[in-house]
Amino acid sequence: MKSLSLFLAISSVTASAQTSPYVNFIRQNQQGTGVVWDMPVAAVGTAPSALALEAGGSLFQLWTIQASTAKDYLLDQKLVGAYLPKADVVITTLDPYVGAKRTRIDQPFTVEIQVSDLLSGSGLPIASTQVLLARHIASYTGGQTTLDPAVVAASDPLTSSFISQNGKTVLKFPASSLKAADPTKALGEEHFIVHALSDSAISQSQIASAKVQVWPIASGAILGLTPGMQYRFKLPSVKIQLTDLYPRSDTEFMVYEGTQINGVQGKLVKGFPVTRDSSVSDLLDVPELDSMFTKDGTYTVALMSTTVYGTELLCPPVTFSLNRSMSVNAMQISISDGIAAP
Amino acid sequence: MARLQTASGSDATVSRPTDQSIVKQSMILHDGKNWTLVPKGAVIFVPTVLKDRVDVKPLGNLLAFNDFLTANRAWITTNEVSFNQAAGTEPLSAERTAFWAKQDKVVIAVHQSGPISVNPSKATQAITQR
Repeated sequence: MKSLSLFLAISSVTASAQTSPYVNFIRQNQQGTGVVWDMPVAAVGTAPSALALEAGGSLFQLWTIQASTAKDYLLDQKLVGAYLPKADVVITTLDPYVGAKRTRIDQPFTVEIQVSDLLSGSGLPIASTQVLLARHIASYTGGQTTLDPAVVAASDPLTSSFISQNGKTVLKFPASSLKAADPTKALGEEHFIVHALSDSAISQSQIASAKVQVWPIASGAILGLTPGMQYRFKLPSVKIQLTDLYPRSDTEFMVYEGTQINGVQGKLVKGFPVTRDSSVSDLLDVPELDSMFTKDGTYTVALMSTTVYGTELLCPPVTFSLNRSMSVNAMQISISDGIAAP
Repeated sequence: MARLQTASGSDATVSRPTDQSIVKQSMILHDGKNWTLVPKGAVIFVPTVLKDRVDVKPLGNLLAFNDFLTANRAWITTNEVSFNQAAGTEPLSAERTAFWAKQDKVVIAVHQSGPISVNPSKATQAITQR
């Protein structure tokens, strides 16, 4: 609540020592509580208003009463009010996690800003009729998973605009605006902050804010297997590379018989659930792959990740064939009766 | 340069109520010769013997409240209240309200030497006249 100490200047009326033809009264009417207070008034002077300004404001009236006839005259009247707009910011993403709002770099999100207590009319100070909405973006660097909100708020905003009407403003973003050398790997936070504007007494102050974490799209690689190769002996050592797995996602390394993975029941070779609330990268050995094959044939391995946004392949599947049984085409036998040749 | 347009009927007009009167919105105190006024609700205790000096017609010599109080300290006393007590969110202290009856004086609520109206809070029972 902004409060003013009010100094009133009172115009003088003729006053004599004994009786005065007019007596002045300054009356402060608090609009909210209905309390009425008469200020002690000298003929000329200033005095601070003893009562703080309430939300509804105060009506100051200067009356003078003619002593002889008890007729009163309202000389001046001023309504003085305090104001502070209110705001609320809510971000909605497709990820239902309740701890912190998060989304993926390619996924849409919605920001709703509810503003109330803005005044409208002419001649009002700009700080009572508008609020400032600022959008800040900041990337995580060097393994950060959170940012200091004060540092982000102090940076230059990406965009800013004024809201001058009470009610709800809905902003829909098809994707985050965070940038990186590889656009699918941008990560960081977006902050939406509503500020009340400064007036002479108080500088700009933040009245509401919300932020959303943005994580990159996961990717991966199956290392060690060459597509289309025929393996005759032991399989080479296979590794799976997992990069930027989404928080709380499940990643599976599957093997399928044949060359198709759609509509075919696969077998799980290795699973990798992410239990953290930040993205995870790792490089894993898959020694168990070799023991899963009991017969020859063509197989396809695929690396896929399941997030709240669906199941997606992390890299193209690798198809190869196994041919490990040996067949004998011909045999040469020599017969001997044990007698040495002459 | 702005061009003023003629006002249409639906434009908002500034209205000042013409029948306001501070005399009608106040409580008058009279000592037989002089009178003054305080906001309605500022007189928080009136003993029965002094009923005819409160809420009477404004006739005679008008004084500002502090001058009237100085001349009539014999039968008027003041009780300083805080803003919360005036708004009714805090009650007046019970020992004060009990003391008024013993004094036999009219009690006016003041705040920083100006008379102030008091919204009676639920806990204050002793306010007799508004």
